[in-house]
Amino acid sequence: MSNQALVVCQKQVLDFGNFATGVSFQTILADRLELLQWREITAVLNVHTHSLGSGAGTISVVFYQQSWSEEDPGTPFLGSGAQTFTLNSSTPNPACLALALPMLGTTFALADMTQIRAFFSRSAAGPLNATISLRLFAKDA
Amino acid sequence: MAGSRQRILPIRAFSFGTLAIGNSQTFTLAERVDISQYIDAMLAVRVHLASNTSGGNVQFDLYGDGFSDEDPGLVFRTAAPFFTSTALPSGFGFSQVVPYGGTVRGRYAALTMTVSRTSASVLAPVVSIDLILRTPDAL
Repeated sequence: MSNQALVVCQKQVLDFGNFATGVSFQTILADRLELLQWREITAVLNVHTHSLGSGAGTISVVFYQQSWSEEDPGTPFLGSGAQTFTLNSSTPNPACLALALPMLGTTFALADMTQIRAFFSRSAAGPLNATISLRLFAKDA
Repeated sequence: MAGSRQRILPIRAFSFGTLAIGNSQTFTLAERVDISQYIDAMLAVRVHLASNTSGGNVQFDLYGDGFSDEDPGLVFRTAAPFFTSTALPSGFGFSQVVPYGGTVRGRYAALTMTVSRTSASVLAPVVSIDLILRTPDAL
């Protein structure tokens, strides 16, 4: 049995403080992350600190099914399903959030690749940021 | 670590313009795919931008293939696929991957395609498929 800790994001600040109320935005944290070798993956999101206690909005980290082909390299292939961490006013500060990513199944499973995005949605005025780090703990058990 | 990715179907454009409405058709795309070293399988079905599936349903199934060199002319196929397939999304002008899978048993697998025509709209899927195979490390 083998395992690996994949560092997806070093500690970094996601700061959406300059966006107006009602606006949403997304940014790609990782693209074409190779998961071919692993049968079990747990995503662990460490929230070092955040400003969401004021109710200004939410920040989400979303895992998409993804595939890529050298036959059509310019086309992004994403799945319709997603697994999500959601940070909001009730998220502890700091926090450690864990999410099992299914690697086998017929409803939502990642196959061999994932794309990870961060979303935010602002619902009120105020600071809207989070300092996070993200790791995947992978096993072939 | 023991994972494998096989290009089980290179990009291919199908056209079912002559398939009558209400009819369906099933045919084999690949057979004798060696799965003997693995216990998990995921199909990654890529729908390419040129695809148009407005006119019906398209699905891909992975069956057990009991090929025998004692009687190589016969087709030996399990009665049901290894796992339930996911139909491709209907429409055109988008790209998407549709991953699904389950546990696989035996030595060989076969991939089939089933198409059902439901309307007079275009039914011309453009797809490519990877087969993702995994197994735990040997002790």
